[in-house]
Amino acid sequence: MAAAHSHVSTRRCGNKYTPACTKPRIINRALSAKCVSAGSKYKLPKITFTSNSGIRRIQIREGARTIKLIRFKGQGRTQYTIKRLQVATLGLVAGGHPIILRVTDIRGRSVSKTLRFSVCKATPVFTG
Amino acid sequence: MGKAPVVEGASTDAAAGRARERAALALVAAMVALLAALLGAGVAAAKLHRPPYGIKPPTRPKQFDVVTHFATANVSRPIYRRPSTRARVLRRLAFYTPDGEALQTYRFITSRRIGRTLWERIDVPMRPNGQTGWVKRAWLGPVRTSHTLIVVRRALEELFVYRAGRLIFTAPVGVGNVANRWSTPPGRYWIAEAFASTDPFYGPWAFGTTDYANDTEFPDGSIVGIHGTDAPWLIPGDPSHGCVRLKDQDILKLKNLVGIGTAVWIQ
Repeated sequence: MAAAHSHVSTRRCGNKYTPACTKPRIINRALSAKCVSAGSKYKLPKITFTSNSGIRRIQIREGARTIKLIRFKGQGRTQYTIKRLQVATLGLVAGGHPIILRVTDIRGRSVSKTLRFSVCKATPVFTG
Repeated sequence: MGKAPVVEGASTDAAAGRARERAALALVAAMVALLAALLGAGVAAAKLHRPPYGIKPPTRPKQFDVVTHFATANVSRPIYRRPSTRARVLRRLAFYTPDGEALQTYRFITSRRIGRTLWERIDVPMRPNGQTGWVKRAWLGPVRTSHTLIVVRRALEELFVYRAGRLIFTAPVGVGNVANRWSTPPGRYWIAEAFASTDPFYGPWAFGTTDYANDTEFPDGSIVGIHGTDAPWLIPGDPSHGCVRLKDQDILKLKNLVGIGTAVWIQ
């Protein structure tokens, strides 16, 4: 008796029944260009992470400090959205600061994106 | 005795009189009807000229109905003089303004698709004023829009704020002193920075524009700002080194009306 073969694929992408696996993507709304008062919290815009193979890990860093780390088990998720994430600016010097977003899919491919914000200086430097 | 003779002439005259009377009445009636018809036609014509569905005809001058599209830089790539990577480089896209007070914004002028690449022509804030360059659309972030406009009339020493072409605020200002060669440079710019100030010289709030002044004694490129003042008795006037000064109560009102990306016309 011939063995029964299952034709149901559990893979989301990358075989002859599914589309090709693409790199993960990071989509965000427009950033506010205005500086943030020292000591207040900087509100990040809505950020959406997508991967048609499945997201394994999302990391958000401010410089060398990790603000958020999210891990998914198994097949992961194809989309994840972060809303209303805030970054504390206490202790940050006046001027620009980067926020690095990094998403890794279940196949090990990573994509990074850098968002930026600025902490206000107390005294403007204008002609007067 | 016979019947009274019938005077035929009299009855004819009466009939003619009645006929004339009837004709006059008919004429009057016709004139009234004609007048009514003309009036009705006029009313109908007036109704035809009225826009349908309550849409009012435009009353705002289109001159001040300005929309500004701007974006920040995603990557620090060159700004080219022409839409080609082989053209001369004007400068590089910057992430922050020269004094680090805000993310650097670039105003869109026009776009051109060359092959599969979309190039954007942008206003570049640098010395001398009025420089433009070309970058790839992918190098800039999501587009933001502003519908407000600030017009500073130096001769009148007055500032006007428009939103969608409608005047919403006006205030006296102090502008650059021409006698000392500190005049506020004319042109079309936009607000690149907005922040609270703790220096009383600049008042409680300050806006930085993309206008560069002629006074090079100040570091960081002599940016022309719009800010408050600790000498309100000098306003209106021309006391400044190029900046536009407002009284503190006016700058606090302006703070709630405009923001980064608002167009600024210095006339």
